[in-house]
Amino acid sequence: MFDAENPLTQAAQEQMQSLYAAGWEAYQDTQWLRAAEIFGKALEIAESINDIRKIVLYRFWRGSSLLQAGKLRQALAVLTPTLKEGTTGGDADDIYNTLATYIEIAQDLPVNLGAIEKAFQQTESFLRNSGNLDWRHRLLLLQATLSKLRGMYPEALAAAQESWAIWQDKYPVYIADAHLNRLVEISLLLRDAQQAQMYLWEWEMDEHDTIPKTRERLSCSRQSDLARLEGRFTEAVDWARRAMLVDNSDIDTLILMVRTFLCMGDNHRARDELIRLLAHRHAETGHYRYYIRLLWGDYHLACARQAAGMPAVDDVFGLEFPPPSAIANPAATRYALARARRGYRAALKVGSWIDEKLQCSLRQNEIYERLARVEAIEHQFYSLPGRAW
Amino acid sequence: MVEPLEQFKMETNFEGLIQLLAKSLYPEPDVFVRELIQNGHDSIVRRQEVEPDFAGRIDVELHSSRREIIFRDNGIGMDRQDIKHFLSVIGSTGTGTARKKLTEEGRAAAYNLIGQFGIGMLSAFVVAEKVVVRTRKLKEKQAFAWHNTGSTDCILYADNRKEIGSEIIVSINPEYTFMLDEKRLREAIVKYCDFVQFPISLNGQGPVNTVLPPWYREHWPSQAEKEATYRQFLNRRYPDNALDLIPVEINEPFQARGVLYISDNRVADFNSTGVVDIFVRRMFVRVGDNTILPPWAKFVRGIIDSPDLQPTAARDNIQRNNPAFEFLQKRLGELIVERLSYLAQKEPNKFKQINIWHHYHLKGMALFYDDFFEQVAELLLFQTNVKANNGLMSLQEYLTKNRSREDKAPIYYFAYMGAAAQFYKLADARGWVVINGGGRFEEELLVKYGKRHHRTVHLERLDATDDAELFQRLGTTEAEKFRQLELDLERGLRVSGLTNVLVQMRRFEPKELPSVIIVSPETEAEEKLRNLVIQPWFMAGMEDVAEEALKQGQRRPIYLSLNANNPLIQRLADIERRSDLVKEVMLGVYNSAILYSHNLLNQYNAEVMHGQFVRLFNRLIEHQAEASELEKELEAERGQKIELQKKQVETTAKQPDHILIFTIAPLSEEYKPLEEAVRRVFERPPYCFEIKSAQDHTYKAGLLENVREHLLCAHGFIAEISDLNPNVMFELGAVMLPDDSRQIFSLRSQDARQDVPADLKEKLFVPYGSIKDPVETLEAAIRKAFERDGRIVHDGIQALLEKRQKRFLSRTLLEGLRRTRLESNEIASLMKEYKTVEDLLAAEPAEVVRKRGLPEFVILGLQGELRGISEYV
Repeated sequence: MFDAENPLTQAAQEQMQSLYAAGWEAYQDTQWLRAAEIFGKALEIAESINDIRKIVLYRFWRGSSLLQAGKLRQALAVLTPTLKEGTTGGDADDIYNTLATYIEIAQDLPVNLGAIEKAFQQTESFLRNSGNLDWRHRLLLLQATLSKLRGMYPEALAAAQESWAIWQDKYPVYIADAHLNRLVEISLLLRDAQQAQMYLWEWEMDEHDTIPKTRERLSCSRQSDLARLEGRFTEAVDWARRAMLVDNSDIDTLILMVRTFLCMGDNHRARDELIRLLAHRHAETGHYRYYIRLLWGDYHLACARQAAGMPAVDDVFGLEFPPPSAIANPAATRYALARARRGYRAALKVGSWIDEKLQCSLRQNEIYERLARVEAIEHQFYSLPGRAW
Repeated sequence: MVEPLEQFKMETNFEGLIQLLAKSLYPEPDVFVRELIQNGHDSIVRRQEVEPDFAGRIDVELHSSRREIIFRDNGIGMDRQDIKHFLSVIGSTGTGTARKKLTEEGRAAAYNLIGQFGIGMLSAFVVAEKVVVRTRKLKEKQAFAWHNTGSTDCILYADNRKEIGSEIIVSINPEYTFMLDEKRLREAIVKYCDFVQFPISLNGQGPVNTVLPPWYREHWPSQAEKEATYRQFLNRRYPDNALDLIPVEINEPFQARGVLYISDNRVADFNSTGVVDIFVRRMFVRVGDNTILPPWAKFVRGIIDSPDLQPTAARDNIQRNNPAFEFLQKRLGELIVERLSYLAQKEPNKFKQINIWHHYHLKGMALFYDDFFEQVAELLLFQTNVKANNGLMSLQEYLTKNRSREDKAPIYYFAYMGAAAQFYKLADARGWVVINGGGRFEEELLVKYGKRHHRTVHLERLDATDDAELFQRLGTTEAEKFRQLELDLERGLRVSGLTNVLVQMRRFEPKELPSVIIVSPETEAEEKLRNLVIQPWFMAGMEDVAEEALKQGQRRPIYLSLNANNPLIQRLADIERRSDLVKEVMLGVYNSAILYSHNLLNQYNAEVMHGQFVRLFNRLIEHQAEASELEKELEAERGQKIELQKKQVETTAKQPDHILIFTIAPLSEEYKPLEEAVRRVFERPPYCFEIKSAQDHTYKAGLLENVREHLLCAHGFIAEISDLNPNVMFELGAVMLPDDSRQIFSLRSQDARQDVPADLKEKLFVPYGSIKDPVETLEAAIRKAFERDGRIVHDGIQALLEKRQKRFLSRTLLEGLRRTRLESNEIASLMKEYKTVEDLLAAEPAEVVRKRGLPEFVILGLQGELRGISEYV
């Protein structure tokens, strides 16, 4: 039994407190695994003195650190003991955080839409029962993320805006950067550069507490995206490099870097970063598995364009696809197109699986669009006199 | 105020009520045996208060024919007043009244009385149609007989009974005839009244009860005898065997006596309990009580007798909201732990035996009950890699041995029983003691211990960590060297369907281990999650997420660490790995790691392994067949080679149609006469052989090559061995070694000093006088060896003659012709054109004239003389 008066308990509390501080420091420094390890040690001590409140708290932070590190199933295993029916003895905010993290993991894997929605209902029900509906902004942001993942961008924007509107800088909360990042991201997906720019300005002006490294990385990344949308590819590369300076192992940042290099037509450098990305091709996060394969296809498509003597194109925002006028190096083009097709086939496999889970066709459409571009170049071969495919 | 209409008493159906009460109170029909014997016991105790040395006894008699069971005691008995006040009033107890009086007087006997409620006689009416009590009280002259048929009507008679005491005659109802069986009655007496302090006889035989259980015996000659007696007692009473005894002797504040024992009966059921038979004041109350022992004591059984426990009215159970019960429950738990501690310290073998036998309950209970955990966690034995004590070691001992210089002592363990071989080897190589935490509850127990003692110990799970100390990383250059091997092995495994194996190069000891498999933290997390998802408390809304996450994670990664120290791995890294055989070897590396960590041996792995074995067996058989085939081919090729060699010989040094004898003699002028003698013998009729020495003709430039060609061409050999000249012996050896049945003759002067080698003695040995003899003498000596009386007597020469197709046209032959005298140059000219006599004879004289320029008449004369030689031959 937990005995607050016991001198041993008091010593343990002090030890836990210092571990918690160290864990939080590592978390802010984006050393996720280190943070998870430290929170794990604090959790062990909390369990040894049966301090339920602290157990729930440290479980959440350990789970959250593991989630950030991409260890989704480990995070689930850590968080699950908190998810008990009825009273658990933990604070409501920590339990809410745990539930929200569970939903994040569900979306990252992803699991069936039905299961995710059930988790949303459960969390909403928890908020209602605990009388904390003012914490709903966190759940709304998660809903925005889910809509974004399903390709429902207007719905995603609405949810993200509502979430930001009712957001209060009071625990439990996602930091302001998470909200603003999502708002910019969705605006860009809606090709609304003006709105994206507006949120980026708001972000610049924001003075709420934050995790500096995360803010720097996310804002630079979105600036890079906006630059790409507006066709300012050199700036896009610069912003992506700034994001890389903050954390050069983050998968999102690596994807961004490759994407900007491809836009610039710097396939050689894109390839170097892509090879680093390939180490994550078995990531637990299903979306990463998809993006890496898609990017592999995009890289080869970019190589094909280069070999064919065509200008570089941004395959994400580049809506106007210029038809090839001549094939400079047919053999290299043919080879790269074959590789691109193979990459897209692999991406389609993962993408279809995710689409099926999330009941949408976002990724399949994306791949079909890419394949159309491949076919356009292949078609050019047929149309050229004296060329045989 | 409302006035009552009528006031009346409720009526009862007494007979029905008695039956109902009796049957409700006493669900077992044989309980009346206990109750009536207990009445007798209390009666005797009360008599002993008056007559302290009085020897009490209780007799039970069975009269099956009369359907009666009689319970007789020589206790204090009853007078008319007792019968009316106690026997005839339900709930009125003479014993209770007596106890109160004795207690007030401070008499010890109060403690021994059993009866409490005055309802014991009711139990007789469960089985009886009539009960008669004949009794005479101590110091009373009149005896009485009380008759009751289970109704409100009791009849009291004066009785002629002489003895002091009581006799209860129970007439059994036909429904309970089975109670009239002596065996059954005996069992009931033993079951309920085994420890009653007065002897109980049945039909005059007995006592049938134990009377004095071992724990009431005060003096023991030795501990061994005490233990033997206890064991004997338990063996008689219980079917299982005692692994260890725990005598119960509790005196304050509540009393209890008895014995607990650690049973060899092992029920691996979490819901099983430790059970105890409970007696109160020697009278049986309850069999197999599962509440008085602590819940963790599942491996313990026993029997206790406590006067402080309170039976229920039915006397088939005890009251639990009783301070004595709570005290005893706690104290019995302490006794068990004390005994286990004692065994761990003083009798380690017995403790080990108990640990092995009851590990499921000992460890499980330690995990679930904190109080038990605190007491025994450090005593429990775990399997380790140490050689002593079958590898069993307690945490206490482990920590003493593994005490680190650091603040925290490490506890190394692994959680999969099947991985023991692998981790024992790894730990042995590092000099670590590692705990096999793969048994039920063991890992959880270690983790619990680690948490409780996080200040002094830290747990290190070897099978879920890629610990850099255990598995050293390779330097960049070295890692680069092995990188391709990692990729090739991963690719090979992928082809075999093992898509989740990640290969990594490490350096670890022992070097004999080529690879090990490490379970990833992801795997461990999945296992934990799997256990959590099935918990009943899990939030319904979230379980789908967890379950699907688990489903998606079916192909969790397995890390195959290759050992850079291992010679096989080093060789694999160096060789070309494209061949099927090398691919099989690489798959074998994985399979051997799986075998060492066979907890990972799932159906798929087993299929892969089986497939590989079959392929390797087939390959072995194919190799065997190939080897046989190759041997045959090799043999054939050898034959072909020999043939080719022969052909080569034939092409380069073809044997002539005439017989060629090669002479092997020292290169010295002094041997010329001997050579001349040989020529005279063999180049002339009847032989007409060619006698050739190495200097006669040069086939090839090299000395040896030239000699070899000569040797190959010859049909036979003549060697001069008098001086055992080295060159001669060398050539002779070369001739003899092939053993190709060609004739060899040796010439030896009689003045030769050295002995002839044994091998040569077998060959024809031709003696001659001396090398200095004239040619004619030498010729005669040689001829003598082959001819006798003008006939050829030597088989070897005969064989050569038979083989001869043509006769050699030698100078010696032509010079020796009697009629045709030829000039030396003419002879040379003829010999150049015609090798054999037959060739010359076949030639047209005109042609010979044309070719050689000799006069035709000479040719005709020559051919005529040569034909004469032929006829002569």
